[in-house]
Amino acid sequence: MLFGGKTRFAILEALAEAEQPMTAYQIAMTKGLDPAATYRCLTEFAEFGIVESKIKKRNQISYKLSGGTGKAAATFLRSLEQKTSESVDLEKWLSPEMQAERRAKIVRLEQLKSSFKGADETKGIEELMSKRVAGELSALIASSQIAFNELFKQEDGTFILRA
Amino acid sequence: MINLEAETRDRFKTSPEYKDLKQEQDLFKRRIQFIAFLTEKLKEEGVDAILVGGEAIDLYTAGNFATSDIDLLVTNRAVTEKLLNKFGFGKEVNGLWFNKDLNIVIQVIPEPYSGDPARLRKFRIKDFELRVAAPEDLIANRLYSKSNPQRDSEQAIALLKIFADSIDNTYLNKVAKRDNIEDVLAEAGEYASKI
Repeated sequence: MLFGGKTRFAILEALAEAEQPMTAYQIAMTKGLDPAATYRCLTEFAEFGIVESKIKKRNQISYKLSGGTGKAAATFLRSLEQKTSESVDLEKWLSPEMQAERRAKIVRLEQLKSSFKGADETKGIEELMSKRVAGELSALIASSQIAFNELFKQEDGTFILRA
Repeated sequence: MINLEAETRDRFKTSPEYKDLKQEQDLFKRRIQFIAFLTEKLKEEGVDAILVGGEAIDLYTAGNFATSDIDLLVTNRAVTEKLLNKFGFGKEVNGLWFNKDLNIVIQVIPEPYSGDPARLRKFRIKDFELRVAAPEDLIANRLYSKSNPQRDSEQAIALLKIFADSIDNTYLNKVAKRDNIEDVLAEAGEYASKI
């Protein structure tokens, strides 16, 4: 999972906190991560537009969160931190089980509401999406894209499950 | 008297395919592996199958938008149900087919397919081929559905975002016009482009 795992979470956290672009090595040192694993994750993030990279002097590559998905991921992290007093286990938060649990809560709430004021059909997309933690849907979508590409390769129009 | 169905069930349970499925701990992978296997066996019986609904979206999102059951649209319901029975599935009171050992739930949906068959996407799972509803048809289906607006909207937005570069907008708009969901499609598209 894209945002699951300590390395990926720590990278996003480091970039969300940083005031200026950071190199993979700087991120690894700041968060106590393995530099090679940090570089691999950043390459993956860059591929999916979560981070933007720039080549600096002496061919050093620096990274910052992208304006779209990257900022959404950072917003999501901040929302989670505000929502829970404990440290956030992002992998658990984004797991299908937790998603289903949250969705069930939303549905239960909606059913309760609709028993008072009729069906939910007429609600706009913005209103429906406002029930999600900020940035959560965006994070899930980016996570889906990466996981799909990890699982399948495309050959002659067919998606083939990697061995 | 020999019980042929029980014998077939036992044979399936000792088959390499079943062993493979039981060994797969990731439920998402196990589900797609089984459905591809089932599709192949149906094909041998002259039955065509298409993966539609929530499980198709689950597949396109690699398990991130999980669903509880697998919707399989088939050209022959009776043959499909007979085969499911042979593979250890039992019919529940709500009409769903459940295999406790594999923890897989299937809903068998009879024809016709409301989408465009020419747009089906092909997947190869191990040695088996699986045909899956096109993202455009799934988006329209989700936006048309009124069963769970929150879930359906999220799934439509996810597909709009994931397939932003490859979606056939001309076709999608045509379907939206047919289903009278042009407004909601425009709203979902706008939301997807913002996030």
